Amino acid sequence: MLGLIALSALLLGWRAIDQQLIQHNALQQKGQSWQIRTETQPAYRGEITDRHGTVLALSTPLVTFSANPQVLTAQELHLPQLTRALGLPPGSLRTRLQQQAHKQYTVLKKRVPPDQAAHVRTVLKTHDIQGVHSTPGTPHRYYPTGEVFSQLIGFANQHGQEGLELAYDAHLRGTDGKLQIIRDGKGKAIQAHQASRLARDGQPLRLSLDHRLQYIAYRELKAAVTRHQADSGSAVLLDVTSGEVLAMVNQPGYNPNDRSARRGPSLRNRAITDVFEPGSTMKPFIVATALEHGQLDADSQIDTRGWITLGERRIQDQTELGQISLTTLLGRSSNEGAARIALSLDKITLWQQLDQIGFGRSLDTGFPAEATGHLPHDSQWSRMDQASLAFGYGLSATTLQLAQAYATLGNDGVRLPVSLLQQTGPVSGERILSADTARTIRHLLRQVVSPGGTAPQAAIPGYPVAGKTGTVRKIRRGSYSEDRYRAIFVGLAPLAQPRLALAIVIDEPNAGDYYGGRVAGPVFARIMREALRLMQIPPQPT
Amino acid sequence: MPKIPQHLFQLDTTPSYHRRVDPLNRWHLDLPLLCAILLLTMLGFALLYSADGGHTDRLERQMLHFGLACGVLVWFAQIAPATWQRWSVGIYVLSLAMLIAVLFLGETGKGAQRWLSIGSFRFQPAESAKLAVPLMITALLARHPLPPSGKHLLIAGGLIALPVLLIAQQPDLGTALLVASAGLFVLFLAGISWRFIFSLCGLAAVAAPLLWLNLHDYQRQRVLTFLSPEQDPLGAGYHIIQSKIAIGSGGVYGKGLFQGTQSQLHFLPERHTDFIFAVLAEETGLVGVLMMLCLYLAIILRGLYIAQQAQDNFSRLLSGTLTLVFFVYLCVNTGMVSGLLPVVGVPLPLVSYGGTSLITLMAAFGILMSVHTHRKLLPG
Repeated sequence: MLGLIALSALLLGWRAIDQQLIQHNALQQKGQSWQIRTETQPAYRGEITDRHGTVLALSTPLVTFSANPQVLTAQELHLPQLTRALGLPPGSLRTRLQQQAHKQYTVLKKRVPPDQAAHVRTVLKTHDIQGVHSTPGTPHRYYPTGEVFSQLIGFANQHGQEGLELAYDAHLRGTDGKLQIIRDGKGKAIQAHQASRLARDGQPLRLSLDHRLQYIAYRELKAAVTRHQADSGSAVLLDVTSGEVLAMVNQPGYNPNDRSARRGPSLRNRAITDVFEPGSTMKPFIVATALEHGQLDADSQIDTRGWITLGERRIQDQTELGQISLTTLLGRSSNEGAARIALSLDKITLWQQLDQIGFGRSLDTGFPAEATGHLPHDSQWSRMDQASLAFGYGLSATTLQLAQAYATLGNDGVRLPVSLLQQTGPVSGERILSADTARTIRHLLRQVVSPGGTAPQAAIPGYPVAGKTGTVRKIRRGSYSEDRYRAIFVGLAPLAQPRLALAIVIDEPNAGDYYGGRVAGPVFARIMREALRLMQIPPQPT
Repeated sequence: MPKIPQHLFQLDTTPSYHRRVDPLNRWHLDLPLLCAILLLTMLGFALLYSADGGHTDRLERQMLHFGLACGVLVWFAQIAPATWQRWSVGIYVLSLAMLIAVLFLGETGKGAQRWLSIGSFRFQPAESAKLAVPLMITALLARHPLPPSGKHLLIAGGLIALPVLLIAQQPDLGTALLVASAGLFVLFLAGISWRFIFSLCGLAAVAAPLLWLNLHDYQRQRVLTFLSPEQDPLGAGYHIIQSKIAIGSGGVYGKGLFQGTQSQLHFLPERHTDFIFAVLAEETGLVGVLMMLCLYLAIILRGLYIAQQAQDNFSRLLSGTLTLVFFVYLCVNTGMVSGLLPVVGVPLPLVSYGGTSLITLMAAFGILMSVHTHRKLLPG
């Protein structure tokens, strides 16, 4: 008998030693896995605002409501109120609780917006409903301006997926915190144990863009693309004095708030990612190179009679312009005249000047998939290549690069880096043309929007402007198409002391008109007129 | 006149043992037993206080229970063993009557009809059977020469089975098993042959499948849970997993009173009653557990010593049985809490919260003390 007792006592003692010494750690950890729950404290993504602080992208907290069915079911009386507050179909909550009756945790509703969450909490409090918990869910990213900034800003879920959201993801993205919560046997949080890592919200991002100018550009571009049944279009408005992008729009666009719309070619920020041959908009830079290097002066006359023969090909204007001034050359956009100037220039000189202006160079905007365009090296040029460059074939550029090249003309020959973010200090640039040359070119370009020029539709009442049209044949299956064009207009305003540079590119207008002056010119005029007004730039005598 | 040696005058009529016995014996109390009991109940109070997170409601009530129980102990200790023997039939019949009454008038709590109310006083009649059955069987067997004959064994079996079945159908399997074991211990101590014991075990093995079929669902679940608690950690296995975690978390020195997360955060079920051992293990560690086991061992050894010193069959059988039942109590509870045995609702004697159980235990100790202090000691 005593032996039995001793044996039992030993057994119990051994059991205690076994559990408390040998299995101590394992059992303790197991206990902590019940008691301590690690919760993620979501960090908020930084806001994106325009230069005036108008919010373009923001994160709103969404709340997840969960419940302990075993506790909640006991308060059947208040279930209808809770169901209504959560916006669930009547009776669905009761059914759910019955199905999950044996569990201690069930999610009632995810992604509840903040105002509704506040209402639910009020209902919980007034009826003293127990067993319902709310936890901060992943914040929801919202884009108040919708399509207007769509390709530029892009979109993000947890991480940036497209556009500036992707480019500045590290800056915008916060670091989620981790919170250890001690809970009791009913799953109720007793205390926030310790934050092993505090949530750090992302940094805000202030763009150089102006949401008013962006909206105007968006509206006018969209109208033009629709009117001309064009495939696509881009517009870029630059501040000539700072290199800041004030507006950058593309068509077709999409609504970034609609997840199903987030795919396809409309995601492309064409102004930065798509290159094209700039066509006649190149001519001012050829003339500028000749002026800069003393080949011509402002009063030079160019003989465009006859044609240029280069091997088997011939360069000739559609209408014979004869002996013409530089003003006429640019105003009437003479291919033959521009080609003669280009051929008179030293290859290296021409290449260096165009390279300095920025053709074929990266703009370093940091935007995803930014294209650099292409300027072939002078060693690879044939005479024909050299002549074609004069009217913008054989090289490629983006809309933004083109706008920047014209902004350099507007900034008296000093090339400023372009920026999508607001510049806080003075921006240092690089002089690539003399101020005289730049001013001369601007005044020559005034002729383009005059009644005798290629784009009288681009003229703005009250403001003298400088600009240049481009009508480019698109390459189809390796050769230049006879019926597919790209209509371009790039210009500066006001003429004397330009503040704004605006480039309009409309791709494949299909409604009859295809000339740069007739398709892109009016868009330029409408956007620039309102931009000048909004920027409070006084009208100037013409 | 020769001087009479002084010491001869000191011979008087008072038996010498009266002077050597400590004053407690005048009250028929046993000092070692009393000390161990007091220490254990104090430990129980401390644990109860901690398990309740510093609230004193339960503690105060338990102290009241204890005061009452002490009264019962002292009272029962005054009653001589011979009187107990005379009363045993009456007590047995009364207990049986109450068990039948609970069948019809009992109050239901937690799915079992166990409680009987008289006025504002509520108690479980099954507890009284824990005393009544050993008393009855002991009285029966002690009247006849030992070892008992087959006829008496049969009668004893019947007398045990009747209350056990009544309790089992309440249902209260734990108490039924304890009452049955109390009766069987008497038979065992009375000296029945091992052959009989083994054949009884064989019978039990045969009866087990039958019993299984007659168990309530929750009882079957408990056995299955015992066999593999991890299968349903949130449901049926919850009790035993949480309890194991609590014991294991205690380590050598424990987390300290009020510091046990398993009990303070209410992960531990029934932490005031059946699972209070886990609270002890978590908060006082291995040291506390071994100390407590030592106290229990002291009580059991003292009880067996009392049985050994008893002067007649009735006293010896009764005190031995009561001690063994106490031992079974301890083993079943600690075994259950540490996962060695299936979960049956048996409280930790003297420590768990609960009035009826405490009073019954103290009554048993009263009877033990009565047995020890009513011996007719031989002088010198």
